[in-house]
Amino acid sequence: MGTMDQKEFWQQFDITATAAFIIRNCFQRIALQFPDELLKYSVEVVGTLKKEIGKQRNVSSHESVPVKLFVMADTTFGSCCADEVAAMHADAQCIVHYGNACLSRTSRLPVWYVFGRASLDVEDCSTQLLEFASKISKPVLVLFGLEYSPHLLNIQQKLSAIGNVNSNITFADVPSQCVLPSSANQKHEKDHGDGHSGTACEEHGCSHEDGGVESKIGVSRSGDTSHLTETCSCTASEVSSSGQSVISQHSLGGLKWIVQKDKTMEDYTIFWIGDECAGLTNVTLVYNTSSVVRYDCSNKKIFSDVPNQSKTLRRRYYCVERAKDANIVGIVVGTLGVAGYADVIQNVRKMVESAGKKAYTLVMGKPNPAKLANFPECEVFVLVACPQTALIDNREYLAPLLTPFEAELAFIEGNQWTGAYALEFNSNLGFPTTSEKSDETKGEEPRFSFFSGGYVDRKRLETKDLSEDGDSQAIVLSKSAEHALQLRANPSLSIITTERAALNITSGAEYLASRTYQGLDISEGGNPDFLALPGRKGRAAGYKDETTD
Amino acid sequence: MVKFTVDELRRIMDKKHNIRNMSVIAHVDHGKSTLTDSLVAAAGIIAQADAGDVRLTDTRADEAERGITIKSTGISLYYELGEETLKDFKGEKDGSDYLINLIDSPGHVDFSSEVTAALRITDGALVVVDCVEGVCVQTETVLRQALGERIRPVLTVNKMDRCFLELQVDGEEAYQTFSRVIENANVIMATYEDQLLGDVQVYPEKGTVAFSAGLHGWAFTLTNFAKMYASKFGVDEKKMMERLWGENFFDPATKKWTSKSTGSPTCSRGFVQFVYNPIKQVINICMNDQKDKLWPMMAKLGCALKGEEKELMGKHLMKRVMQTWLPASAALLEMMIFHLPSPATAQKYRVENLYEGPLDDQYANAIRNCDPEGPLMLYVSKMIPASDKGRFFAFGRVFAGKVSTGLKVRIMGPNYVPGQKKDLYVKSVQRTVIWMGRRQESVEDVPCGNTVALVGLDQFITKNATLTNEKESDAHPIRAMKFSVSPVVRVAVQCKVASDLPKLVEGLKRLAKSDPMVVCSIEESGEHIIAGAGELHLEICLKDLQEDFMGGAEIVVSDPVVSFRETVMEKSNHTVMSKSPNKHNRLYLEARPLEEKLPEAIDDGRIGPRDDPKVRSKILAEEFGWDKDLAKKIWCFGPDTTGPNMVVDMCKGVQYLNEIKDSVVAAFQWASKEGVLADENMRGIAFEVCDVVLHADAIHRGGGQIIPTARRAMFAAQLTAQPRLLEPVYLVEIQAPEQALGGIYGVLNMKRGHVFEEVQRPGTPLYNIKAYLPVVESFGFSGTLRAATSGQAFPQAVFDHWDMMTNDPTDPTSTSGIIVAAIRKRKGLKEQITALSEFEDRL
Repeated sequence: MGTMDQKEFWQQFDITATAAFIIRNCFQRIALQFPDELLKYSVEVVGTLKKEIGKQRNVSSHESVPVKLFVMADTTFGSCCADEVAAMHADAQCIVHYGNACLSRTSRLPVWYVFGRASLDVEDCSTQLLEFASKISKPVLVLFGLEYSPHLLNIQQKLSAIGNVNSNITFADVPSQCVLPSSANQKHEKDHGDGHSGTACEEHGCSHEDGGVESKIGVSRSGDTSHLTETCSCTASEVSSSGQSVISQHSLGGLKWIVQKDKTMEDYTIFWIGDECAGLTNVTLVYNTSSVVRYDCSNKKIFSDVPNQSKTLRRRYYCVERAKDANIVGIVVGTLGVAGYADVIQNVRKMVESAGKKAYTLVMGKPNPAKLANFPECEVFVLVACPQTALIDNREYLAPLLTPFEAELAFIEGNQWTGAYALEFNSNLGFPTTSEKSDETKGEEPRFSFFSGGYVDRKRLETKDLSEDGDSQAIVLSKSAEHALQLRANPSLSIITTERAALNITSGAEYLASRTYQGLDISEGGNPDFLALPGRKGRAAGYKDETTD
Repeated sequence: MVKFTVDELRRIMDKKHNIRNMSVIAHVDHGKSTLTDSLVAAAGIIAQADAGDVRLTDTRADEAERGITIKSTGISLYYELGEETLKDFKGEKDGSDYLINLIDSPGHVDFSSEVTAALRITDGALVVVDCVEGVCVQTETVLRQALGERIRPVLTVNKMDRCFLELQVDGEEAYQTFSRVIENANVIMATYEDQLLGDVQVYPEKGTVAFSAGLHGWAFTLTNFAKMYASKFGVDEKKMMERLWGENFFDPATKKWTSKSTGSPTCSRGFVQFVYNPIKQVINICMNDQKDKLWPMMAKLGCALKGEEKELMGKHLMKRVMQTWLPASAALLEMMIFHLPSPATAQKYRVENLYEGPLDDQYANAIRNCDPEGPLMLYVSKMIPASDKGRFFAFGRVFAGKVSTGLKVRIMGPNYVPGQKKDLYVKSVQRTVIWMGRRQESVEDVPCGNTVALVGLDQFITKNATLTNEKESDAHPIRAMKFSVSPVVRVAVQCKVASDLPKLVEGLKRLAKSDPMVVCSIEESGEHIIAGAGELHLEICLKDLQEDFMGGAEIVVSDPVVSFRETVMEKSNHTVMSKSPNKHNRLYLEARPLEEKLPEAIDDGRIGPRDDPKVRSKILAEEFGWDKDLAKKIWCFGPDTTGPNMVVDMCKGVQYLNEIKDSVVAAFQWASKEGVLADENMRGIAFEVCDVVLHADAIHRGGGQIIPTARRAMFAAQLTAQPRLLEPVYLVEIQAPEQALGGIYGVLNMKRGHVFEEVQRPGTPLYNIKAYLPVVESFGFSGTLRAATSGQAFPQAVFDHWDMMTNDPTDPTSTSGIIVAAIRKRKGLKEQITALSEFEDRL
C-alpha cells in the first residue's frame, strides 16, 4: 500500500464506523487484530482510533470511560479468523479484525470486521460487466472479494445510470460487518432487542448499507435478525418473504445472495470481482456446476480461465479415496475461534472411530509440511479450521489434508461422492443415523480400494474385539505392539506407507514398534563407556570443520 | 452332443480317475476354438433341455464378431472308451466312461491372464500349433506358463487341411515341416523336465502328438494308423507306431524297412508311405468326385457313409468322408485320456506348486491324494459375471474335499496371512453350480477334481481366493497365480454426467472383479485409471464397463496414457546438500544409475528387501561388482519397498544416523514413487547418503525436519545426475508373406520401431519378424499395419523392457522434454520441471 493520504487511510481502516461501533456498544477493552502485512499501520490506527472515539463521545455526550486498545499480531492460525484466545488474554470485550476475513462465527466475542478498501475502476468494471452479461444468455451473479465491497454500491449505481437495468445481473451483498459469537446469538434470540450488544451490532449492520440493494433483491429484513448473523455459513435456506414467491438464499464466505425460485445455482454464471484467493476457490468448489469468470481489478480484464474447478474437485475426490484406506487419522486443530470447533472435533473423532480407524488429535497452530511430517504414522489428516484455511492442497505434504465435510464422505459408510461440496463444517453432522442403518453383513463386506486395485478388509480395530473380552486398554495396546514386533519382516528395512498395509498397522504404538529406531534404549546396559571427545565447534548454521563453498 | 441329466453328470464326477481337466492353449488364430467346437459337437455334454442349441464356447457377441476368443470358457465332454482301446489303457480307471472338463482359452497375448487362470484349474494342456505357421511367440509363452504350473502337455499339429489343399506339399516336405514344429515345441518343453512330472516332451510315435484339421473336423494320432496296419501286417502295434515316425523308410518293392533312404524311387519314409499318402489319396479322390474309386476304398478302411451323405460333392464330400474315417473327437479325446493325467495323478505332484503351507499337513495330504473325504481345498481362479447384473459366479476347482450348497466356508483372500484375520471371511455357499453348455445347473455338492461355480461369495472375493471348511483355521492358502503380462496401457475414464460418478465407481469395481488382469486405480489428480495388457484388452474392458457394468451410462475415455519411468544416466556431478526447514540438519546425497540388469534382477525378485543380506551381497558382489561391505549397507528398496531403486548408506562415523533412517526411508519411498521430472516412478537409481549433519538435540532432527529434506535432496541428486526418461517398449512379433515385408518395415519405421530379427520359416513363404516398438507408438499400430499390408500381417505385442530416451528431459524443446511437459500438465503440475535451486541449498 505504501504511503497513503489521510482520506485513504481513514477509508482503508474504516475509522469512523469502527469508532461508532465501539461507542455504541460501550466496549472498554478492544483487541485490534492485524495480519502481518498491515501490522506496520497498527500504531497509526490505534492513535487515530483513540482520537476518533474521543471525538465521537463528546458529540454524543457519553460518559467518558477510558477505552483500552490492544494490538494483536502473528495469529496462531489463519489470519482470516478472529483470534479469540489471544483477545481473551487481554480480557478484551470485542475484536476489531483488519484485512482479509472469512467471517466465521466466533464462539465468545463479537468481532467487527474491517475489510479495507481495494482500488477499483468502477467505470471500467461496470462496462465490462454489462458487456459480459449481454453476451451470455445465462443470468449473471456478481460475487467479489470482501475488500471490494465498498465499491459495490457505486457499480450498481453506475449500471442504473447507464440506463441498462439488466435484470439478469444479481449482486451479492455483505450483510454485516459485525459477527456475533454464537452464544450471544442464542441468547439474543430469546430476549429480542434487550439493549444487548448484539442488537446494536445488527442495527449498525443494517444501516451500513442502505442503498438499493435490499429493495432490489426483495427481502424484507425487518425483525428477521437470525439470518443476518449467519454470515459465515455457506448455506442455502428458503425464506418466504411477505407475499412473494419463495426464493432461496445462499451465503458463502461473508457474501449473501438470493436465487429466484425457478432457478438453481447451476443456471448462473458467476462473475467474480477481485483477485484469485481462497474465497474464489471456495466459490468454484461449492458451486462446481456453475461457470466462473474473474474480473481482475489491476489488469482490468476478464479472465475465464479460473482454475479448473473440476480438477480441484477431482483432486479432493482423490484425497477422500486415500482417506478411506487410511488406518490412522490425525485430526489437526486449525482454529480455536470458529464457533462449534470443539463439537466438530468430537464428531470427527467419533466418525473415525466408528469407521474402525484410530484418531489422534493434534494442536500445532498453522499446519505446515514439516510439522505434519513429524507424525508419519498418520496416513491422512483432517483439518478443522475456518472455510478459508481448511482447504490445503499441497504436494509437499506427506499425507493429504481433508476438511471435515470430506472426512464425513470418507469415513461414514454408504456416503457417496456426488460432486456436491460443502465447506462449512457444521453444515451436516447427521452421521449417527447413517451408521446405524448399515446392517451387519454390510459392515463385514470388503471395500473396494482404488489404491490396491482390489477389495480390502474393512479394518475393524482388533483392539475392539479384545476389549470386549474384558482386557484393559493398556493390555490391548501392548498386545498389538507385540503383534507388530513379531511381524517385523526384516529388521534391516524399515516400514513405510505401503508396507504398513501388509503389516496392518492400526495404531501409533504399532507404528513405533515397526520403526527401526524407537528412541534411546536405556534398558540395555551393555553399552561400553566412552571417553568424552571434543565435538564440532561453531554454530549449527555452519560448523567450523565444514568448508563453505 | 451327448444329452445328459444333472444326476448322470454328477455321478461321473465322483470317479476321480476318470476325469481329465484340460485347457486348450495356442497362439492366436491357430484354431483352438474351431477345434474345440468340433470336439464339443461330438462329445459335449449338454442339458437334455438344451439340445439343439449350438456354439458353446465363444459366447460373447464381440467374440464371434472379431473371430477371436476373449474370455476362457469351460465345457464338459463325455467320452466312452471302446472295449478294444480300453485294454491298452494301463493307468487306474473306474469304468469306461470319461468326463473331460475342457477350457478353451484366448490366444491373443492381451488376454493371456485368462490363460493363466485356466491353467491353474487344469492338469493337462492341449497345445494347438498351426502346421504352417509353427510355434509362435504366444505358443511359447503359454507353454512355458503351463509347464511352470506342472501341466502336462500334448500337442496337436493343426490345420492339416492347408497342407493338402492350399499348399499341396509332397509327403517328405510335409514330414519335415511337422517334425520341425514338434521339435520346436520340444525344445521349450525339454527345459522343464523334472523328476515328478517326468519327460514332458511329445513324440508322435508315443501317441502324444495328434494331427488335426479342426475346420474339417478330422484328426488322427499314429495310434489310429498303427492299429490299422498292425492287424494288416501282423506286426506288434507298438512296433508299427515307431516305424510310422522318424528315420524309418519302407520300400514296397523290396518290402523292407531301413533306417535310411535307399535312394530307390519307391522307397519312402514310413510316415509318408503309410499315413500321409493314403490321406492325400482319399482327399484327392473326394475332391475330384471319383466316387467309383472312393466306395471300395471306404470299405477297405472299414467305414461307410450314410444315405444322403453319398450325394455330397467336392469339399463337402471330402469333409464328410474324413470325419467318418478319422473323427477328430475320437483321436483327440483318446489322446487326452491316455496321456493326460487325472486329477488323482496330477495332484500328487502339483501339490508342491499349489499349496503354500507345509507339505506334510493334512491339507497338503488331502490335495496330494485328491481325497473327497478330506478337508475342503478349493481355489477360485476367476469371477464370471452372472446374467443378473452385478452378481458373479466364483469359478474354480476343488482340489480336496467336497463343496456343497449351504456349506460354511473360510475365504482366504490373496492378502491373507495364516494366523491373522486380514482378508479372511467366513460365509456360506448359497448354491453350487456346474456348467452344462450354456446352462448352469445346481447340484448338491461337487467333489474334488472337478471345476465348480459358486453363488453367494462374490462380495468377498476380488479376483481369486482359497476356500476351505469353516473350522480349518490352520490351513494355508493356495499359491496366487503369476501373470506373464503386465498392465502397461492405461486410460483415464470419467463420466459424462458428473452425477453418474457412483455408477462409474460401481462399474469399475465390477470390471476389476470380472477380469483377472485389469487394474482400476485412481491417480493423484483424482482421475480413474483403467490399466490393461494392451490396446485390445482395454477396448474390451471399456466396452464391458460401459455396457455391462454401468448400465449404459456414458463415459469419457482419455487417449491412452503410457506410464514412463525416471532414471539417471551418470553419477551426480557433485554432492548435493539440502538443509532442513530449521536449517539445523544437512543431508549430503548423490545419485547414480544402478548397474545394468540390476533393476531387472530386483524386478524378478532375485534381489529384494527380504533376502538374506549375505546372499544379497554375494549376488551383488559377484554379478554386479559391488563392494561386499557396501552391499550390506542398502537401507531400502523403493517404491513400494520392493522397487528397482535403493538407498545406500555411504556415511562414515556419523552420529545419530540410525535415528533418521526411518525418515530417510519414508522420504525415499515417496520420492521414488513420484520423481522430480514428471511425478512418475523412478527406476534404476541408487541414492548414496554421503554425509549428514544433524542437530545435537533429538527434537530438532525429527521426521518433520528430515522427511521433506531427504526428499528434496533426492530430487536435487536426481537432477544433477543427468536425469532421463525411460519408455516402455513392446516386443512385436509379426508373421507375414514376403510381399508384405515392405509395408511392415515402412510402418515400423514410421512408428520408431526397429526390427532385430527376420527369419523365413523353413518350408513356407512366411517370414517371422521380431521388432521393438515403443508402447507410445503402438496405438493403432495393428490397424495401420493391416492397412499397409492389405491384411496380411497380424502383430502380437507384449511388454518387453524399458528403454532410455536419450535426449535431455530438462530441455523443454527435446522429445522427452515435451513428454514431461505433457505428463505434468495432465497431472495438474506446473509444466516446467522445478529448478535444482529449489531443492539444493548452500552452506
